[in-house]
This record gives sequence, structure tokens and C-alpha cells, in this order.
Amino acid sequence: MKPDPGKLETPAGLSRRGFLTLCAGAGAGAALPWRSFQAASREPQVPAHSWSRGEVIPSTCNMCVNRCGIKCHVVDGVLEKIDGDSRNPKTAGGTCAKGQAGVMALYDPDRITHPLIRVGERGAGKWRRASWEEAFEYTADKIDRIIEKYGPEGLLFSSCTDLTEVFFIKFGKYLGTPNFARHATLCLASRNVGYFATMGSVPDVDLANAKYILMFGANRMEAFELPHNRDLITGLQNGARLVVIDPRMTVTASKGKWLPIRPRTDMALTLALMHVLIEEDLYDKAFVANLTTGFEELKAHVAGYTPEWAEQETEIPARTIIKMAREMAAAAPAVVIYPGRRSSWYTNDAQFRRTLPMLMALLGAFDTGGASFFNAGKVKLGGFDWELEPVEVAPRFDGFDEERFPLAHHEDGGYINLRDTILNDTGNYPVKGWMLYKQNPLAAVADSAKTLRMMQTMDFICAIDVQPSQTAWMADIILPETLYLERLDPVWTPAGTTRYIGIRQPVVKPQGEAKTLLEILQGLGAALDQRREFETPFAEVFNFTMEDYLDAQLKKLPIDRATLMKDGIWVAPGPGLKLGEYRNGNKDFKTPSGKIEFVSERFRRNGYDPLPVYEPVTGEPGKQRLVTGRYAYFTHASNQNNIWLNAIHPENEVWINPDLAKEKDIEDDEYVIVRSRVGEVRIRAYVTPRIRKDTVFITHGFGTNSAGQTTLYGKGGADQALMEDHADTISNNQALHETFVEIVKL
Amino acid sequence: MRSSKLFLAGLSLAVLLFSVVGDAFATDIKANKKRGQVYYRMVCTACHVDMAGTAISPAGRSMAEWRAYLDADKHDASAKTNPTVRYYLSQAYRESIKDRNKAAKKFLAVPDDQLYADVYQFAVNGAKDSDTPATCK
Repeated sequence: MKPDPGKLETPAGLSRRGFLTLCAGAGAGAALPWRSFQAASREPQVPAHSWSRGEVIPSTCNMCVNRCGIKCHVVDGVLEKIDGDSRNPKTAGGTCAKGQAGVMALYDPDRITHPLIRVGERGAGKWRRASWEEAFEYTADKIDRIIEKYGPEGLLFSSCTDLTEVFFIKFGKYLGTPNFARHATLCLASRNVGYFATMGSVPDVDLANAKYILMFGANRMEAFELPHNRDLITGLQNGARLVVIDPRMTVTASKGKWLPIRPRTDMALTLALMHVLIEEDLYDKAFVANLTTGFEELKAHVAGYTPEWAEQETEIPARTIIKMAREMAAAAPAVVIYPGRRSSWYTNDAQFRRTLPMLMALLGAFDTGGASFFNAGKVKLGGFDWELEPVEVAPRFDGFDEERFPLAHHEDGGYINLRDTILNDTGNYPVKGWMLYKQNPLAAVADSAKTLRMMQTMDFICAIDVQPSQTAWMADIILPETLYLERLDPVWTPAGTTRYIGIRQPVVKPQGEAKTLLEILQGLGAALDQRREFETPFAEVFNFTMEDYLDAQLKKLPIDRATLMKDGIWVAPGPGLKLGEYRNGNKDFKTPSGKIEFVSERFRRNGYDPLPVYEPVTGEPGKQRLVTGRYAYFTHASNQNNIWLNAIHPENEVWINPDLAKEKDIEDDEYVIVRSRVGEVRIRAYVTPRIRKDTVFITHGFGTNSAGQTTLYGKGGADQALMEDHADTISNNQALHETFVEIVKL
Repeated sequence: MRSSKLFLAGLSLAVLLFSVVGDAFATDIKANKKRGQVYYRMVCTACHVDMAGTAISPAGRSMAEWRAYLDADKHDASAKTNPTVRYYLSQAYRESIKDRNKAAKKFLAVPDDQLYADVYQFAVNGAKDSDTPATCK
């Protein structure tokens, strides 16, 4: 049930009228069983901020993956406000809308704060509240039955990146399953494969001191990684030239030169830029001679990729391409070729990503100020003394291994591959149980209808989450985890120029009966121990507290847990980033040759093109290519239901070019149907010249199937319902920008 | 002098035989890379960090270098420690450290040849020019 307005105090930063309007609008779409359940279980409490009293507790944000330092203002056990922590070297006091809306995430009336067991059909939204004891017995019983029938390999474990994810994965390993699916192939797996093959790792970038910044699709101003955003602003203030390659004019593109490239032709541009640099003798000869291999092959390879040819592909004028190459060469080595983060675009994405460090290398734009660099290294945390995992485990069920995907990260799994394997029944053996931790495949994986079908093949689905996500809504049981503001997490250390560690700690008591993941796994493990004998009993494996774990991490560092909890961070003494180590020969790249490799023998050996080969692009007449992304106030599909954040952007829309809108007689703000081969959605049109005519854009994270998300339910359309399930051929990273759609006037 | 020559001849023969047998181990025995990984990280890495202050990553050498090193079976060129690699994979060695090393204890019954094949595969498959370079931890 939505909050009773009569019992609410006004949330900070949101007018009472606005808040009431939101409540009424959102409540209209909620399913009755969920509302009835909610009404019996909780009331929201979002206090106004008093500013003048209480305590300030340092911690680490978890509203996205960036882990900014925060200060939590707590009065009488109630969290009133979240600010940035100015002592944090990475974020320097900054926090975004999402970070501040952590207050609302804590007191969200839709939060799950008691175990829920499904009583109706999957997805019908009929649940009953269960005690933890019953929840553990229920879940252990289901897992035990699957092990009995299919072996432990009959279980699939899916999780998203977080500080506690290690516990969840360990739990699966001790159970004996080899089947894990992590976040990578929904996001950045293709980028990683491309960079690893070329220069051994993905570099960081010095945006603050760059003179020229080239970004492909990356929407820095609306994305994670606050330090990069701040550094980009600093760089622009210092006079850096920013060029953004994107079929859509993002906020980032609006801060520099926007080149509206024809989608999927990005590699044509990078190849042509390399052509000009070599043809005009503008490349860094010393860098190429000392720190790269395969230049002559590259030179021959790009000889035919002229700017004039690239113009035909990209629709970026040849003279612009030539000018770009010359400007970059003039600015070199203070040039950033931005690696990007989410690289789930096209089926040739790993090969395209390879061209970015290649271009960087020609410019010598590495290991010096204003360029790319490998970070200073993380603080060396102590290891926890885990019991040994079973080593006699089955091969993966889905063939995601050295033979089929030789260069992929096999332990992370590949979602597109594994889903097809299940639906086509082509696996080595059946998988019938799905354990999910903070992972929402129904929203995150292209073609959600397929994901739904996959879920229906499962005998059992357990979701550990804080909210009724799209996937949790389809589960058989939901185990409520504490929010990041209610728990102690493992210590962490970031990549970057400063070596430090941060802590995430409880600032308030858990809402309802929510438990930490460690507590959940301990309870579940105990129930499983009662049912069967494991190689190492769970009672032994998880026989520790989070405090024990932190103490092991901090064992060799000159700081103790109590001090870290008081201060929030600890900065390691000594020098941070030291540039020039690669240029002066003190360090080698982690590649077979120890250098940046224009030609990848690893690719060649496995049947892939050793140099990136451009594939001509074909469109579909009368249709537009669908691209996706998000706005600054949302993370994946995780906080569109947050009342404060939803107030900023209640509903998503499809971006349509005015010429296309005119052809289809569509006006701004009217609802249209967007249809692909696999689905259709009804969504509001946003008619704007900020997008190419052959492309449409839909913000991710809306159109939820979960009536439990009462603020979001019934609003907008789901991009993943439209997307076909393409994937990068090398990494199996899903390719979200390979779908064509038609826009239909209602 | 004669005994030295005999010793050298015997050593050469042993090395020759071992290099053949070593390859055979690497190919004929079905290696368990996971076990090799656990042993490498929990025994080899732990000891190297304790004794030398630094670990040796599989990705620090090429596949050819790993094969040459493991086939030559010389653990330490200075001969300050036991000179063979196989010694540190042997049941005798595992027995000697089982009370302070979980991996040694757990894999105590694994035949020497099997564990050698396991570690061999992990190291070679994790080499810097392999498809999947591995770290030491």
C-alpha cells in the first residue's frame, strides 16, 4: 500500500503537494494483494531534516556502484539526510541525486522487510509473510530437492557486483555448483576483452589535464563515477576539447562537439582516424617503436580505411575526421580516448573496443599527464581464511568455456548463452533452481519475454533483495536483505590515483526483519546442514562475523576497525600515482609481448580477426535502430521506484527525431507504440532534434511488471521488452543496440 | 670423478625421462585445473609470499616458459631449497605442512602425478600468452 498521506511528514526536498500527487498516482496502479499485504506490514517514515542535532556517521554509498564517501545525519535513530564526505579523496564531498535519495530508499514503503513466500501463480503478486525460520526451511528444502534430483550443478547463482557478493558466490561454490552468472555480460565484458587483448587491462584516464577528449557513446555527465565527472568539468574549464560520438545528443555531448554518428559504424571512424595519423605521419613514433608491436601490419590494415570511405559509413564528413586526427595529434600525448563502461552495444563490440587503445597508442597518449594510465594500485587488504571450496565440480551446464568462448571470463557466465541453453534444452544437464542476489535479469537482459519463459522452466527461484524488483516479483520466495545504510560490509579499496580504503557501516537499525546477506546465508546454510552432508558443513564455512572478516582484511594495515568506522576512510601513506614507468621500461604491459599489441595473436589463434575488421552496416527500411541508456538520477533498473527520484523523472519516453515525427504525424508528448520483432510497448514520445532520424532512444528501467513497485508500476515502457537477444561474438556481452523498431501512432 | 660423471649421466637421463614423462602427465592424466588453482594459490603463493616476500603469478611467464620450468623440475636455481618442483607437490611435502596448510591437508591423498598435472595445467593455462591469464591469488 502507498503511504497514508495523513501519517506522513514531508520528505526533505519535496513539497507535500507534490508528494501527495505522487502517492495518489502511483497507488492507482498497484495490485490489491500487494497493497493489502503492505498495509498490514509497515508504515513509511521520512522525516524532515532538522540540521541542528544528532550525529554524523561516515559510510559508503550504494545507490550505484561507484561507492562515494557519504556522511549520514542521524537523529534519534532516524536517518534524516545524506551528504558527500569531503574527506573522501575520490569524491571530495560530492554526492548526486541518487546518493541523497538513499534516505528514501531506506524508508521506501515498498521495501521488503520480511520474508515473503509466493502463494499464487508466479508473478500474480500473491504472497504471505513468513518467519525467517520458515523461510530458511522452505528454501533449504527446495534446494535440497534440486540437489537430490539434479545434483548441485542443477543450481544457477546470479549476482550483481557488490562488496558482499563474495559471500553469495562462496555459498554457491560450497554447494558444489559451477554455474554462476554475474553482471559482466550485461555491461562491460566486451570492453574488457578488447582492452585485455590489446594492452592487458583497462586504463584509467586523466580527464582533468587532458587537452583533447574523445568519447564514444559514454555519457559521462549522466553516469557513474563522480570523480570522472568532476575531472571532466575541470578539464573543460582548462580548455580541453571534448568530442562526443553518439547518435543521440546526451548531456555530455552538449558540453562539447557532438558528432551524430550513424549507429554501429564507430569502428569505421576509429580505423579512419588511425589511417590519417599514419598517412600524415602524425603518430608518436617513439611510443610506437618502444611500446607497441605489429605496427607495420596495422599500417597495411588501415591503408584502405580512408576518411572518404569512413564518411560513407559514419556520415561524419571526411574533412571532420581529418581535422579530428590532426587536432588529436597536436594535443598528444594529453589525449583521452575514453574507454567507456557499458559496452553492450553491438555484436562486434570487443573488436571495436580494441581500436580504442590502438588509437591511444598511435597518439602516445598513455602513462603521462592528461592521458590514459594504469592506476596506482589498490591498498593490499588481508585475505580471509576461507575453508577450501570443493574442487570436484561438474563443468558448466551451458558450455561457456574455453572451447566455445575462449577469451571470455568463464566464471562470470554469459546471460544470452545460458538463457538460450536452458530454453533450447541444449545444456550438458538441466538447471532447475535459480538463486538471485541483487540481480534483476528480467529488467537487465534483452528480450524479457524470453527471460520470463526461462524462469518458468525453473522448479525454484529465490531472490535476495531489498525491493520487489521485476525478477523478485516472479520468484517463489523473497529474502529481504538489509539496505547499505543498515549493515556492515567488507572493507573496500578503489582503483584510481589515491590509495585508500573505505568502510560501509550501519547508520540506523534494520527496517522490519531484514537481515544481512551473511546472516541469510548462515541461516540457510544451517538449514541445509540439517538435510545433507556437504564436503565442508556450512556451519564451518560461515562460522564468522562481519567484524571477523573486516579484522582479517585490516590485519596487516596500520588501522583498526574502530578507527576506520569513526573516520570512514583511511588513506595509505606514500606516493600515489607514479607516471612514466611504462615509458621508461620499468613496467611491462600484461600482454604476451609485454607491449601494446596492434595485432592480437590470441585473437588469431582462436579464429578471430587479429586486427579489427569493419563490417558494413545494414539497416531495415522503415524502421529505426533502438538505443538505450539512462539519466543521471537512475542506476540500472534499481531506483526508478524511489519516490524522490521518480519525482524527478516519473516516466520514460521514446526520443524521436522531428523529421520522423512529422512523417508519422506524431506530436511531442503523445503516446505511441514502439514495436520490435519480440515485443511492443506503449510509451510517450519526446520529439527532439537531439537524435538522428534513423535512431530512437528509450531510457532503461521503466515499464516494470512488478506491481510491488507501486511508485513505478504502470509508468513508461520497458526497453528490454523490445530488444532482441544479440550478443558480442567474442565475449557474449549482450548487444543492446542491434534491434530495429517501428514507431506506430496510436 | 667417475661417480660424478655417472651422477651427471644419471641426472641427464632423469631429466630426459622426466621431460617425456612430464609431458605425458600433462596430457594423459585428466587434470583438475580447479585443484591446481587452489594448490597453487594456497601452497605455492602462500610460501613464496612468506619466504620471498612476493608471489609468482602464472601470468608472469609465457606458456613455453612454464612448460620449460616445470619440465626441467628445478625449483630454485640457487639450490638453497629443495631443488625439484615436484617435491613441493609431493605427498611427502604435503604431509610435512598439513597441520598449517588447509590445501596440503585436503589434497593429502591425491597422487603426486595427479597433483603435478593439476598445477601444470593451471600454470600453463594461466600464462601471460594463454587465453585466460591468471593471477596468483
